[in-house]
Amino acid sequence: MSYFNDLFVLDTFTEQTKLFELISVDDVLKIPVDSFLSAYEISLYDLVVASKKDEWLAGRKAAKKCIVRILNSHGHKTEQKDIEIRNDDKGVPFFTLTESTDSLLIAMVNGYTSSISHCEGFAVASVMDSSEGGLGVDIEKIQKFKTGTVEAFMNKQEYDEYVKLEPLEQNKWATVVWSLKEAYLKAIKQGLRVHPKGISFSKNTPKNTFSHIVHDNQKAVPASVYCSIYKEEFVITCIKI
Amino acid sequence: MKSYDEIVSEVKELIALKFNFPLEEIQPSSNISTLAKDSIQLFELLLSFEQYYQMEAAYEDVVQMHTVEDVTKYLAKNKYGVTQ
Ligand SMILES: CC(C)(COP(=O)(O)OP(=O)(O)OC[C@H]1O[C@@H](n2cnc3c(N)ncnc32)[C@H](O)[C@@H]1OP(=O)(O)O)[C@@H](O)C(=O)NCCC(=O)NCCS
Repeated sequence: MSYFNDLFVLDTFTEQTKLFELISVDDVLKIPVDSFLSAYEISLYDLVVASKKDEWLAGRKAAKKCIVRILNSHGHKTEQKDIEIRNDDKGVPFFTLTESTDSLLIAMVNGYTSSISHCEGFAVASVMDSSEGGLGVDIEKIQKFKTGTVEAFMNKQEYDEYVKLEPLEQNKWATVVWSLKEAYLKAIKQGLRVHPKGISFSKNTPKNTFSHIVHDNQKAVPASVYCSIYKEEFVITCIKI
Repeated sequence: MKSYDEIVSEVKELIALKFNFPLEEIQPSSNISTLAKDSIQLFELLLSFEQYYQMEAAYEDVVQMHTVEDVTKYLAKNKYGVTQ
């Protein structure tokens, strides 16, 4: 068992997971945009750069599926196009309702937090009550990283263990570590504004939870982590803190 | 001493190289995170600013910025003491 295997037990990917919604761009492109985007979102979609349009759309669709499922389970019959997803000035997505006078429903929708990620033909999104903490998802294609890049985002312990691995294992674990750090950085709403090197993980029991330390002398924060390999090609991570 | 225009070209070239993006399509008003394919490319660009300009603070300062012009102004002022 390598250090990484031991630290991050990778789950087997299950399509049924209710933690997040995974959607392929191809599937979303079969659906008319005005069936799930509001008029304002269509105007935003028109402004997205061509290379990112399809994935942006898939991210919206995935997040809307999550929130509508939650609202329906609470007895609120809501259509996907009634919910609007916007990004705040740091890029963090949030929900609003397009047309509703139901103050209870408005408060409920505003009270959910979402995280979105897209990569090479897929999007994932997850939604959680913001009073429960922070949420971050990430999907990343398993890839070869430049040595300088790995050295820059891994802490010393991670890098020392990484260099002992076979090349293919290195690609997998570097992608896993990057994805875990990116999901965490989204959960704290900062993205790369916080340098990923300063994040370290330590394992707790039960399985699949770890505590992380942000910058050496800060307190460790407990987190729930789902991390799996999808189609042997992608790493998908979901972190709740 | 570098001129402001030379620094603009330098920054654009660095971005084009790191993002594998056509140089002529990079404008001062271009949003850097929009030009990046993903966060790994963005991270590598931030590292290259640090290395190229030998400024340790470049990562944490540049990551807060949005456009090519913002970054150029920052480097011109903080590295070369040049204002536009
Ligand atoms: C957040 C960040 C890590 C996402 O990188 P990415 O490769 O685009 O990754 P993903 O596809 O996994 O995620 C994109 C989603 O992250 C979400 N997001 C963006 N900023 C976020 C933040 N600060 N916190 C949480 N989530 C964020 C958005 O929902 C976005 O999708 P959308 O635009 O379709 O709504 C990266 O863009 C970042 O760190 N940005 C902040 C720094 C920056 O852009 N600086 C610019 C000057 S160099």
